[in-house]
Amino acid sequence: MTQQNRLSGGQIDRSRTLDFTFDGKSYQGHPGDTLASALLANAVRLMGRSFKYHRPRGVISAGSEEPNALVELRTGARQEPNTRATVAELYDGLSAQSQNRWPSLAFDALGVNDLFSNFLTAGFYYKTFMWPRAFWEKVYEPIIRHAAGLGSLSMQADPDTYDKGFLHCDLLVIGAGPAGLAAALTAARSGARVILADEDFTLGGRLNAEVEEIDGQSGADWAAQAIAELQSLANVRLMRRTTVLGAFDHRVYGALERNADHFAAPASDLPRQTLWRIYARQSVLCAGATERQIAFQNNDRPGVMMAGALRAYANRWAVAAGQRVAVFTNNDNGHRTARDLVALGVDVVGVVDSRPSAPALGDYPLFTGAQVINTTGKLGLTGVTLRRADGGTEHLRCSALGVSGGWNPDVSLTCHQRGRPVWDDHIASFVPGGSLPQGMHVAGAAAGKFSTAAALQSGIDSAVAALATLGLSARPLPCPKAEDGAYDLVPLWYVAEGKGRKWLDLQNDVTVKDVKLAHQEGFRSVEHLKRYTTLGMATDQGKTSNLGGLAVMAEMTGQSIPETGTTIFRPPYTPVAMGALAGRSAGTDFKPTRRTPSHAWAEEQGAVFVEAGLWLRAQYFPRTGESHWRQTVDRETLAVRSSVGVCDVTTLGKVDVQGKDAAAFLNLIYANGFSKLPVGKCRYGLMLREDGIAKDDGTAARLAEDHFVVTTTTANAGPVYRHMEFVRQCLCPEMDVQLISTTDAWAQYAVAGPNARKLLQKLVDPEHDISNAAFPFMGCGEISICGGLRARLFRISFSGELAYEIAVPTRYGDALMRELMAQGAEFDVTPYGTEALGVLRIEKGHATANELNGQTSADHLGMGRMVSTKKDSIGAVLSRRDGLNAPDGLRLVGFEALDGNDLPAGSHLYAKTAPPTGASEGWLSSAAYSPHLGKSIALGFLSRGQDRLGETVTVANPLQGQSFTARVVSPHFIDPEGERLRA
Amino acid sequence: MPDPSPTPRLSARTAFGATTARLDSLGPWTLTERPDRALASVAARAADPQQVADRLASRVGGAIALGQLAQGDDHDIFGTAQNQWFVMADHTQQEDLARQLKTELGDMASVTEQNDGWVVFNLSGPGVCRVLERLVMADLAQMPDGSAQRLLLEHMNVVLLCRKHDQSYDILVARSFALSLHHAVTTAMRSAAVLATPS
Repeated sequence: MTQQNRLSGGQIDRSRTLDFTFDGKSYQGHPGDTLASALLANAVRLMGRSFKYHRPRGVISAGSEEPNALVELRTGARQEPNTRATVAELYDGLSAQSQNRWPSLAFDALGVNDLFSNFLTAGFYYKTFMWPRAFWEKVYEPIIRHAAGLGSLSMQADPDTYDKGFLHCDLLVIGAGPAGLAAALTAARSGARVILADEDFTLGGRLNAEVEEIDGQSGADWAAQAIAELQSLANVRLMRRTTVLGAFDHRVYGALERNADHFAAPASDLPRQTLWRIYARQSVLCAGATERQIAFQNNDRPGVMMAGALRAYANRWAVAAGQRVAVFTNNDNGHRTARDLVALGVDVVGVVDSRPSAPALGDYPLFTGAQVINTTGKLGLTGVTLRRADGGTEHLRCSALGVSGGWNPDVSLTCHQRGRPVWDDHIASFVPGGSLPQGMHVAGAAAGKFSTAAALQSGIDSAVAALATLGLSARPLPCPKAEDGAYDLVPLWYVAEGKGRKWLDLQNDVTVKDVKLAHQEGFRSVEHLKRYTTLGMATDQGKTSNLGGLAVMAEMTGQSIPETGTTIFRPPYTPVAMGALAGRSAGTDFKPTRRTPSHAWAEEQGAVFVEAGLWLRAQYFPRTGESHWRQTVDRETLAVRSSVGVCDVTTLGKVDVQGKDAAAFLNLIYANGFSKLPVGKCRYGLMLREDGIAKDDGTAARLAEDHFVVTTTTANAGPVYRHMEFVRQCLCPEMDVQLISTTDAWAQYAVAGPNARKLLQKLVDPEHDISNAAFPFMGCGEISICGGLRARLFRISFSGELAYEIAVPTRYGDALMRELMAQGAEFDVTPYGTEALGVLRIEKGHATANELNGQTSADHLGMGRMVSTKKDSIGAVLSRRDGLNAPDGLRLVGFEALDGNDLPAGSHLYAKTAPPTGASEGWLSSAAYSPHLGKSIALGFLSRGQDRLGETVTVANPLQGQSFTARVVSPHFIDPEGERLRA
Repeated sequence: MPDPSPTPRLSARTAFGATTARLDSLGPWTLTERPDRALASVAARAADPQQVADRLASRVGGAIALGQLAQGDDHDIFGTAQNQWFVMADHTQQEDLARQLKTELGDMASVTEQNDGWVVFNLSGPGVCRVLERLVMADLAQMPDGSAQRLLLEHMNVVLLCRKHDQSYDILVARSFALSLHHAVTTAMRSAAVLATPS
């Protein structure tokens, strides 16, 4: 028989049947079911095994607070562990597996842990695995890790896509129960922009789970009507299946919308989930309340659940959790369960009420002043034993027990910014305190208003108050007529009788005894209690268990519960898939990519690309027959030295500096002087940080009296521009200077080598003379090429060769590269990438980011004299600190390998006579094989380097156990006099 | 794209390295690359910023406040900072927009060519905010026609111009990011389109 526990009524669509499997066995349910309700309908109570003792466990709740019924949902790459069956919406073909068991759910080998529970108490790990010390890493930890963990990962890449987005509203209403609906209706009718979010797929909250009337119709019908109205309003966004998971600074809320979790697999392009950032000017938290347990011996058997959940399964999902049902309560609410189940024809064998004088709500056996003291059953509940008020015991045969220890307002989101809830004696629970997240109001059960009438009214009032703070006037909704019963509760946290285990935290297997042990061993602070026992540290954050643990601790310490304290709730409210946090930023889309103007052309050439920050740059251009990158790079390097090469240098930052005070501004920015730089000239500039350390270098070209183009290194384009803006806006706002980035506006290519001028002369329009006399080294100008296209030409050299950088508007960059290749064919022009660029500059002794690494000063770089003493510039004063100018300080020098080996960059330097250990005398910052010199060379910083030319030093690479010898030489390996670049 | 180059030897390419502008339609929405937009930045110098503002205003028939896009017959202008504007025009007609502006404004302003500093996309179609809300944190409902905001979009610095609310927006991004921006926007278009389809 299928669905033998299905009752009449409910909010399921019986016209359709959905097939699903659990642990390989087939079952049926209906649209509207959750996995948990469908399993219960099929009389499946055993749904999982507990974390530590592998105890058989069944579902205890009907919502996202569920600690027990965790399953692995789906198979293959989409398998997701720790999915709560209570919120997994049933779909056709759903496949779920139980977890944390082997070989099967009914027989779990690690259930043996339960036999040793006396040894596996709180603090077990800390006490047991103390010695021998060496065993921890090699023996204990691997065994514990193997046994630990809930569920398993598919070990495959997640095939789904995830989305992110941003929403704004006047009022965010969190939770669509009676309070949330009343708040949303009130605000929506006033015209405010409203977002109503609820984690459930059916809105209405407890109205769908209770039997009660609002304005003469069923609560569920009233909710449906309210939702229909909200749906029809353009100023309202209804978000079903959306969990508001965190309240963050600046009135920002995180919310996860599940777009496709109710399908077997998302349709093409449908993002599985969307992580929303909601900017809410005001919010009303209507998250409801969570029912709490009463701990007693063996209160964890499958079939023992919350009384409210039992009622919800019956009323909303038309499911009896068992054919014979008992209730254990300390408040009136438990009686509702009995009343509703009786009405649905379920056999209620008894209501056990710990209060001496408790009223019955219907026709069922009532045991007042009684307590459940134990349960029977192995893989499922078979009965409960109770202690009557008269002292006698009685055994009730039943397959389900509903427990109600009262309700805890769901204050999680009120605590996300360190808000502390406050104790309310009337409901014996915490309610939101005064320090709420900015703009947040709390209504309904979340505020301790447990009757439907009070929830509706507080929703209305909160919305009116929230909108009033925005200057919006909202007319209060006439409060619908609804149940306004009292909530009569006498706290009972656990049943003292019996020595068996009384479970508090069902997911982490924490018992009353564990809390008492923590107290006994001195872990009395609530934070210590939490960490020592792991109470509330599971995926459910102790939604059903924390208060029980606090109550036990309070009893032990003799303090009240509020004096004992509360733990802090943190986002996310419920677990979030890592993929949702990543959103679209996955794989190669993890970050944006910038492409150079010659990218398409370089791809055609088969270039190998390298990431330089966000840029993709051509690293080298392999040709047929070249089997190793070094062959390619050597060829490209030699081609530049012998004829001409072209390299895309667009990535270097370009900052347009204009204004009457442009020169004075650069004079302040750079350590060396710029005020006298003539129009039509470039100058190398060294920029210091305020603390005197080198910040960046580059060139500035003066295109007009009031117009410069500054270049920066690729890596520092953004930071340097930001620094310049800071100086302009904050340090010298009186200067008449304007800055703007033009990095992307111009395609810029280095044309380097003895034939560079000859090649360019074929492109530059004849009216522009670029001969050595007319356009000497460090010249610059605005010219035209190829018959009138505006261009900029800079005679600057990074390679040490006769070289230019030519720039055209970026859209012509691709064509210019092709033209350079075509016109350069007669010179055997060679495109070169960043590797050859690096070799060329090391050969020339030019510093880059490897040398300007945030630790080095102008003196270290051998540029001490560039820091002008005739003017003020940023960093100049602090660059004169003793520590940065010690005569025996570091100096940039060159190194030649003496033993034929490569010199690894990063190696440390030691005097030949000293053992290569301990503090070194410096390090290699850049290294390369120089095809020009036929040997490995390097740049590096060496103490007193300038005085040690010719000395042999040890180059130690202890990471790889390498040690080489090298000779200290000038950093200028080629053309130290600069004749080539001036040719 | 028509070749605006004055030279037959070098032809222009789009930000995607193509000869024609990129155009993608998904659901009711269209993303169009607009290489036909010329751009120049104008920053008033200290002497007389008001006169620069007035001169620019005269091109679009009214003052241009920060965060506002003013649309004229030949030019669109939006404010990017205090006393700083971006001017847009038809690239096929005014590739030398920066030079024209400099000629007119002289020493009153610093003018910089930005034709290729940025790539301009237009994203349009009914209810297009459903796409944009997945990309930018702007409160789109509070962005009326003719407004401009500088924003982050998938880690990229963009300018968003509202030409018609919930209907037509320009997105400007540094040209080198064109492919990444295109990927981000078309991905969001796909998401929004499939989510708009009843399941």
